[in-house]
Amino acid sequence: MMKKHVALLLGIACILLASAATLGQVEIDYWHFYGGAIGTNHEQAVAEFNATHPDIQVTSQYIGNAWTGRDKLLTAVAAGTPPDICLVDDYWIPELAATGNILKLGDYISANTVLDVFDLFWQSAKYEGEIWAMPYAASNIVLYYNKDLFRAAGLDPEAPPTTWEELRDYAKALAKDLDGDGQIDQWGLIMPTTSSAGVIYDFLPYLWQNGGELFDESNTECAFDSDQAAAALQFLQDLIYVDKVMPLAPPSQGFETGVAAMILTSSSKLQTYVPIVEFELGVAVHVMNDELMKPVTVAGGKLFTVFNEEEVEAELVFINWMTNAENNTAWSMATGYTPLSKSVVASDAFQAYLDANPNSKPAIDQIPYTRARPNIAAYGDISRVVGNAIEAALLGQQDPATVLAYAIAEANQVLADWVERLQQ
Amino acid sequence: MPSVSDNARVFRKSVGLTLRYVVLIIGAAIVAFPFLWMIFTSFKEPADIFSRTFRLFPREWNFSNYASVFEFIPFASMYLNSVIVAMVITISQLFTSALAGYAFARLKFPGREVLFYAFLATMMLPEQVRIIPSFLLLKQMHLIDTHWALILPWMAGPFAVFFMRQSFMDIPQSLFDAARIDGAGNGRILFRIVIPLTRNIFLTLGIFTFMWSWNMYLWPLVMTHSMSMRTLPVGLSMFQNQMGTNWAALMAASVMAITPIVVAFFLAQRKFMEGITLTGIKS
Amino acid sequence: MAREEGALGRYRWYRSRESRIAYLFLLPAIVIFLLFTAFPFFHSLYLSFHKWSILTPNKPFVGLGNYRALFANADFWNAVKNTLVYTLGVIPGTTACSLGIALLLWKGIKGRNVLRTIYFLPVITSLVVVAIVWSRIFDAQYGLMNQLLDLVGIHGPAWLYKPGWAMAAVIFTSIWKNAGFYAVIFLAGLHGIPDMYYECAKLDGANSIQQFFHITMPLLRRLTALVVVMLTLNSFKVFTLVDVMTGGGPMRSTETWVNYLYRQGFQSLRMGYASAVAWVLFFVILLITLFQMKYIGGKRDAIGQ
Repeated sequence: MMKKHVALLLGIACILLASAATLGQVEIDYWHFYGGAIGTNHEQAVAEFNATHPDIQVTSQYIGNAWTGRDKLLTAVAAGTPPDICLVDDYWIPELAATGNILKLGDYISANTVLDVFDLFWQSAKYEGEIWAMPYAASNIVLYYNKDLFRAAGLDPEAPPTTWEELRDYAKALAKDLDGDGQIDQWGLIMPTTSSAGVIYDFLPYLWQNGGELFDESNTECAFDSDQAAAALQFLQDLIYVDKVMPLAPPSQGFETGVAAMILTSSSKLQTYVPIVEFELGVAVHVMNDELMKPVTVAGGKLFTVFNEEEVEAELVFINWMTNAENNTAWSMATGYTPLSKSVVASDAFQAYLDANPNSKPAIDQIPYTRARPNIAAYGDISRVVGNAIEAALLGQQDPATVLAYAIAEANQVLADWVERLQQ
Repeated sequence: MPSVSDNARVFRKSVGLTLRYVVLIIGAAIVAFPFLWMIFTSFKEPADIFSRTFRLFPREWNFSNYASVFEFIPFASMYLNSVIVAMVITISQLFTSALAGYAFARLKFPGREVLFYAFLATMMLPEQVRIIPSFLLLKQMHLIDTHWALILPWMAGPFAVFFMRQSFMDIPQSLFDAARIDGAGNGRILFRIVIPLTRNIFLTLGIFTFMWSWNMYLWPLVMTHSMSMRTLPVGLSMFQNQMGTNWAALMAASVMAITPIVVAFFLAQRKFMEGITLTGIKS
Repeated sequence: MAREEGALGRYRWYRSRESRIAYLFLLPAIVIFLLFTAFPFFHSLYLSFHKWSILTPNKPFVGLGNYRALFANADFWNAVKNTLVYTLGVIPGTTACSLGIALLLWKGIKGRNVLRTIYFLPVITSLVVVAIVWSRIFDAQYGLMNQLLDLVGIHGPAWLYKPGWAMAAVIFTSIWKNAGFYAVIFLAGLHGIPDMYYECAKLDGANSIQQFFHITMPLLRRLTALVVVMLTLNSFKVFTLVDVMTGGGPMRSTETWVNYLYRQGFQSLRMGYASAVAWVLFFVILLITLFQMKYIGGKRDAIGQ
């Protein structure tokens, strides 16, 4: 019965291939997770690829944000209907590689490319030492601030905060009750407080800078119940409840509309902010821990993964085109993403761009201090558990040490489940 | 003397009536206000939306929010998907349940009672129990992420069968006897006599099935994943993730999503109300 | 020969033909039910005894393991608790509002149809749209709710960010959405009461309050029971409203039974465990249905005759 189906499908595939050959066009189903302005920009790039490559037709689809999209990709994989290519968040790769659902792209990437692209970005593309994906967009967390509000609060707009302590002090100076109703309506800074992909991402630099870790060295046990982790979470919680400089419910577009003076978020937001903000925008490197002074931030990345082996040639044409120096330069300038390769950063065109746009510099300056997220298969599921703990601390005002200790039991169970899942 | 008490009664009555009007109008305002807010917000500029003070009307009427919806999501294809899915489900449910309802109501055959109660029992099965195996089954059939995954499982419904049976049982036996004498077969009786006689039932059931399938959410959320297969409700909830901060576009999409149904409702209002009354009484 | 067998023979022949036609008529419905109701029903029972992430073929048998894990899981009980809170909020709220609307609209109101149409608008509005719009209305800073509260000097809470308030917001939205539907059912019931009863009561000198308690209420009792059943069953299966408005948050304070099921099944891909969650839900719904069928059946006899 199964064989019959396979034979039938093969037959259909042959006919389709034959007809594709006669038409001379390969169709590629491509999924991504870019919404908003970046999404429009990305779609334009794909359209340009189609226009310049008459033999390949890439149909691109937005399938949800980084969190709901992951569910959708996994169900599609489970249903046996994945796309041909998917742009994924870096931490999904181990999961997809471990379950044998993506092509080991490292076999197709040239040695030159491997050398030229920053090593940091390959870290995210790897699972158990091998390359499974091609980096497309790389970012890290930077500090955005509103220079107008800095001036109004008597702060030097050219000297943004560099340490946790300064961040707090600046935020205190910036948080104000403008209409005198006893409620703060201009905030020092904002960050997401509900469990989402964003909140864990934003938390990681604080965790790492404080000497905490998500997992032990062998990645076999969770380790985020340390005192360092609790202290990092406590710092964020205090910003809400003790210092009262960060809102419990972050206002919609709070930073863009000037309701909050600072935000620590992805460097890829830069060109989303630039066209809409009506104040002078400042960008700086991530704040550091006052005592340890470890300048660490977290890398974020979107990478191409290939699900369909049969069209690999055409797929590589697409991937190579999207990541080539010219397009990567344009993409970086248009969004705020960091260029992938050392050669692009060093190029005259990009250096000229940096001189004209100093706000793009911090993200590149801090590459040496940027860490990728741990690439183990359970990360996606565990990040949800950690996200819930952060939410409980920030929204629920529960004791950080208690919520992390509670979460670690669940996280270790998830980890064990994954080990069991991967044993054939 | 009697005129005084009469006056008092009239007075009490009119106070009561005024009170009733006041409560009813306040209630209607609570119900209607979110709609007005949605419509006016859909014409606002971002700066107008992100203001702390209440202001119902837009400072400046911004129509571009409606255009931007089409920029970000394939709104037209989502609409089309919803229409296709809801139409096919409705028509096939009416067809399968008319046949089954007729058999249960008007034909004698071994196992009739058992089968009927088996059908009735399936009304109690929540969709959630069936969704995981249905997903696996549709996967086996290679139908995931197609219209069929949304249509096939719902082409027959226990409630529709039950509803049809009850309605067909109300038709006087004499009509069937007369038709039999004229030599009409069961198919002919069903399509030429029973269905024309119960047109209203069909319309009612049709409206309900359509509304229900138009609003399906969990099922298409699980069974489809590509944007081109999304139905309106799922597409809108994705749009809310994608454009979460663009309230105006979100409200514009919402307004466009509900307009056809609201218009249809105004046109066929009496049937709607009769329908609910009927279902209420029948169940 | 056939003629000699007479009427009885022809009847028998007809009867067997009748059965064949009946089965033929039932065929389409039965095929769909077997494929998408009966089979999934038993298959999910089978799955609930296994541990399975559909990403890998591993599917070890765990017996009652999933059920045991489920009953020991605090998150599951949290979801059950939330479902009960939601149900207990929605039932009295919706019943009271819909009955109130029906009673006020019932007699002697001019423009009744216009009002009825307005009350019915939320019913025909897509639930996802309702959830999207209301989650904006409940927004802490720019939402209609807090802006209106500000006008009367109340500083509203960050609705969807506070556990208790988030559930209240979801319940309120649910009532707003559904009251009109049940009001129309109540109206139909009220119109079904013969005028004669009230005329007799008037002759006996009963005032309108007495009339309400002695005529309207008893006759509405069965209808109210029906509405409560429908509300209970729907409340136990609530998903869309919560998924779109809060996603089950904050801190899982609005995560209901089906939201939990969805999270386990289609986010964590624990299909066996999620099937067990579904089966426990089915069992509870079955119990409620049986209990209320019996209860209402009894009522019908008491009132009907």
